Formats: sequence, structure tokens, C-alpha cells
Amino acid sequence: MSKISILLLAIVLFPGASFGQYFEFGIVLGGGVMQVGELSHATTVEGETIPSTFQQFGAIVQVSPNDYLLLGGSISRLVNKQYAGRGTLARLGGFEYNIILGWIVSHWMGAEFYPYFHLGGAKTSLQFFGGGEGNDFGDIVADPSQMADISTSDLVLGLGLGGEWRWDLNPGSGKARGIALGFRVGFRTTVGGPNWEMVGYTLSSDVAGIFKGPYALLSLSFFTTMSENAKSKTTG
Amino acid sequence: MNRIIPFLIVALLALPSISRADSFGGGGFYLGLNILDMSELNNALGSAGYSDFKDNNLFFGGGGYGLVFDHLILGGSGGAIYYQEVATAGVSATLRGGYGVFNFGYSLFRSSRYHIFPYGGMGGGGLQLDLIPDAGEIDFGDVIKDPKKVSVLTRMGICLDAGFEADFLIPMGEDKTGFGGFMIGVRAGYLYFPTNTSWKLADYKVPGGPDTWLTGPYVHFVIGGFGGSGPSEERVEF
Repeated sequence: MSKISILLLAIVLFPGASFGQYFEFGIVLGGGVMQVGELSHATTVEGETIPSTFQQFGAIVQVSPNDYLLLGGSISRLVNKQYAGRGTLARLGGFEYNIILGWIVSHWMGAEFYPYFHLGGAKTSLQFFGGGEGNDFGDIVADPSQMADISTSDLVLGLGLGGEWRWDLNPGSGKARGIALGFRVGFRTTVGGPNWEMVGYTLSSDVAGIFKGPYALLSLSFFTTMSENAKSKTTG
Repeated sequence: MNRIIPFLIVALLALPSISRADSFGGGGFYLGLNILDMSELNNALGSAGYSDFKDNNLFFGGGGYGLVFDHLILGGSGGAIYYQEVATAGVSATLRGGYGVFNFGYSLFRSSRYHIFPYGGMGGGGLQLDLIPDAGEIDFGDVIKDPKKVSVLTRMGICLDAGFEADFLIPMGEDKTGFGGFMIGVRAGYLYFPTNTSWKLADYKVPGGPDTWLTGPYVHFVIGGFGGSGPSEERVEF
């Protein structure tokens, strides 16, 4: 049985609880398919392509002020990928931050589900280096032309569907406190740009950054209800 | 004067703490000065004709803390020094730096108006030195064709932090469940980077670099807020 099947079975067998007003924070792990086509074509050697799937990790904060509205934010960075650039080694990475506005539409199997909209920013960063190894500090000061470190910072919009299971680990008291396991699947795209720059320079280019396309994220959070009367409404 | 300072210290330590509430926390933005020793970096760059980086660095940051078990303080702080730029013929050099630490402390004195505590901390930070030759107008394609354009040198390490914070509390409101208001304060301490890590150019270690860090004394002013829950009346705890 695969790990995903075990996870799904565990969620079904041990459904969590949903709450009214709560606050939570935690870590976010996941991945996505990035749009690397233009960048791959522009920067790789013949026959090479940049892998289009990325892993990302970060932090999440979320608050639900009532039974329906969900407000949150997250910041996450990509795990860097190295690939063969043109005549040099290239390293591609980046990070993303956003605010999320969601609407809790249903509770099912002890979870709450919400469509959401997110707005934020993303930075695609790219370093080209090669031939710089072996130089000492004095060599570099004498000849600073060693590498390129370029990036584009773009506005990112997206839509998605999220779900979250919560388990109250503090059942004896008035407030519910515990852990939450959530997921988000969605689609994002950049607006305007790209805005490529290198330290000290603005670089004109139409080559797009990579924060476009579908993604999926898992989150593990700690949560607390904000008032004592917001105890569990439904339990599995 | 020499007699007054030890008396004040002993009095502060001996005073019973005045505790207001079940929980208390505060935080805000920091603006201040970090004094660094730039001599080694200036010597390293001076041979190529660069002018000197200044030791006094403007600092922007933020942080916050919460009080647990009445006296124990847990929190975090961090920020960045405002960048400095120097130049030589055809090349400019920009220095940036930043750090973040987890803080812990002990609340020495807290009233409805003041909160004074020493703190320690541990975290990480680093410096970034960009050496940027003047290449005129360049575009994305030029960079791909010939990526040897600039040098971005970084130095990262762990850091230790110790200091005192004194906050002046300006209550703005309270009810049966809690209270809050504005907070202005000052933090004075010393940041120390104990490790001797290498400078790096991308992933490559760069030997022979100057032993310059964000190590040094600092003074930061705090502008923010505070809040707490629990009974609003003061109580004295021994």
C-alpha cells in the first residue's frame, strides 16, 4: 500500500473536527509544475532542459474570524535546481509570498473545504557561475567579472481549492488547541513583467519567470480557537 | 554618581515584580545603529583603490516577545543594515547584511508603564558584498552569452546576541479580558559571530577573505505595541 493510500485511509478512519473562529500557524511543504519553457530555451545548452517540477517549503498563517471566511498568508521558497547552462553551470531558484482569501463552503469527512483566491509576489532567481573556483578574495577584488546573479520579481495571482482536517489535542478545556493537516491545489500566473535585473543593472527581456502553472501544497499547522464557545461543532 | 548606579542595579534586582496579567507580549519595528569593525574589509578592498566602508551602520528591523511563566521571555528579533556603497575606477562595491535571532530573557521589572529586561539570543546572519564593474548597457541575452559580469560574495554564520531592553508602555485601552497600547523602547546590546566561515562566490569557497562580520555593539529604538490578557488590576508578586 502506498504512503498516499495510508495517509488517505488514516484521514478517513480518524476524521478531525471543524471549528468556528480559529487561528493557526505552521509549515507548508509541497511542489508544483513551473513554467520553465522560455527560460529553458533561453539559457540551456542544446539538448538540455530545466526540470519543470519543483519542491517548495515555507510557513503559513491562517485565521478564520467566523464560520465562513478564511484569511491567511504564506511564504515559501523553492529548492534550487542546478543545470547545464550555456558554457556555465546555472542554478535556478526563487521564493513566493502571498495573502489568501478563502470561503469555507462545506464540511465533509470532518474536514472543511474552501475555494480561495491569492495575491502576492514571486521572485525567480538565476545564477550563472563557472570558472570562479580557485580564486581567492584578492583575485576577485582585482577582477570582479566572475558570475551573473539575475532575478525577476513579479506580481502573482492564483485560484485554488483547499481542505483542512483538525484534531483537538486539548479536549478537556474550553478552547480547542491541536494540529491541522491541510492541502491546497491551485493554479497561479504572473501579471505584467518580467522585470529582470542583475545587481547594478536592469536587463530588458521578455523571457518569463517560472511562477506559472498548477501546484499542490500540504500544510501542517498548530491551531487554537479564539474563544471558548468556538469548541468543536462537528466531529468525525 | 558612582554609588547610585550599583544601588539602582541592586534595587531593580531586589524589587518584587509587579505583574499585571495572565499573559503579556510586545513587539514592533526597530531603527538604530550597529557599529561594526570594517578595518579588515577596507584593507582588502583598499589595495584595489576602493574608498572605505563606514563602521557606523543604520539598522532597520523588527521583533517581538511574549512573557511565559511570569518572568521568562521568549521572542525573536532581526533586521538588516542599510546598504553602503563605495567605488573605485569603473567598479562599485555594495555591502549589505542582516541577521535574525531567537531571544530569551528574564523580566526584571514590569509595571503598567515600564518593562525592563535583559536578554540573550542565538541565530544566524551574514554579509553580502557585490562587486559590480561598469559594463554599460547590457540585456538578458548579453548575460547568457557571457555570464562573467559581477561578483556576489557572501559570508554566513551563526550569531549570539545579548543586551537590555527598556520599554515605555502607553496604555490605550483595557477591558475585563485584556489590555493593550503603544510601546516605545530602546534595546542596547552586543552581537557576536563566533565562527570563522569562508566567504563564498556562488557555491565556491573563497579563501583569504577578510574576517569582517556584523559583530559589534548596537542601539535600536523600538516603536510598536503591547498587549495582554487577564485581570487589569495590578498585583505584586514576591
